[in-house]
Amino acid sequence: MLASFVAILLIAAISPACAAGVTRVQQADGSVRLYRDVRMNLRGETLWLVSADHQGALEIVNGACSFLGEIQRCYPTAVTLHQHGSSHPITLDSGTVYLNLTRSPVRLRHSWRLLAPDNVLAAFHTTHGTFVTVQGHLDSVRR
Amino acid sequence: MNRFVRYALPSLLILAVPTGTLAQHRQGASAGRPVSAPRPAPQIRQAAPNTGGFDFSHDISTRPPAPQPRPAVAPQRPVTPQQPAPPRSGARQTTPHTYRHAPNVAGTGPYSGHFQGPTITNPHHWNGSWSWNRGVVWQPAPIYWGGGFWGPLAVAALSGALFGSIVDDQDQVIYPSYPIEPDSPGAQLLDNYGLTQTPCGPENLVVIWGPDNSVICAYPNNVVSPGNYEVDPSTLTLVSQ
Repeated sequence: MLASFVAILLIAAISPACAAGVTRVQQADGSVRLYRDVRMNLRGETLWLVSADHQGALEIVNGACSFLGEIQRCYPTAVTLHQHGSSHPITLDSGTVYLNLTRSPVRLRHSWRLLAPDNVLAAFHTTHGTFVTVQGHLDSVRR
Repeated sequence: MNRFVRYALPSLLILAVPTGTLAQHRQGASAGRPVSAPRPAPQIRQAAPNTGGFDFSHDISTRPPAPQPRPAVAPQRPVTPQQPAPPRSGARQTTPHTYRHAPNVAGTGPYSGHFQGPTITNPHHWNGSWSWNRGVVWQPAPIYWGGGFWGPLAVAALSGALFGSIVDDQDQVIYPSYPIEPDSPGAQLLDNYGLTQTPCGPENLVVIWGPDNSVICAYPNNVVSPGNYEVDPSTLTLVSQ
């Protein structure tokens, strides 16, 4: 537990101040919350999202990463919310994470959408019906 | 006015959250409401700086989380009246050597440890381990069928997409099969070998056992003959039994 929070603090500390990630959380009752200026860091295949106020961090563990052309596609296997001094596992239904770790924009297959360099686009659905989308520029990448 | 929008309006929205939430719960609970009634558009609330992290209140309740599916264990159901299982070694000998039966369910997959036949070299001739994945080690993602090898098919949502199955009469286990997704590593495997997927069940098919007890079937061709095969994910090759 302590190690997790130390990791969060470290990730937050070494991230540049220009966090520009956006995370959208739609609860099962339809209510939506939009979080801006989210810091996004990639550690291995784990994506860390740190809220702008540094009060919460979402740890998204990915697996089954493979390539669609230049885009790397992974599937989230576990999500944990680290917040208010405790860690909460969030049970996943399914999801997909797209990463562009190249130096040029890449078009997503079967989509009009371009993914800019070092950008992430992710969506996952929890077993409690919460739908989360994540997009933006990665503040740091460590493979 | 600008000050009101910037400071007072977010505060009002935050104060309004519990009321709105309760109202939605009441609406959801009304029995007379038609199912097809239009749903009100989601209310977008900008996260205020002092809300404290992310709001996952629906997901981190005190209730224990729903049990995660275990894709490593194939769905099991009795297909014959319960009988004492014969010893595995004897069972393999008496079982016809055919792909329709999976005599060994122990370990990480059926036939685990029994694919000792020749490897059919991938016609694409990938140069070294994981070269098909640009050197990145592919690791199964447990909540997806076949660990995600065949695509983003969540185990929990597969019930309606069955694409045949392999029945192990001896161990009373059914291994369901599903259509693989384009652009998945599994689709790349089939494409490399020139194979076309078909529902499992009929005889004389190519039966490919993938990660986490997953199985798919394909028509044989001049590269791959009918029979059981195991996927070696590191080289994207087929290993025969």
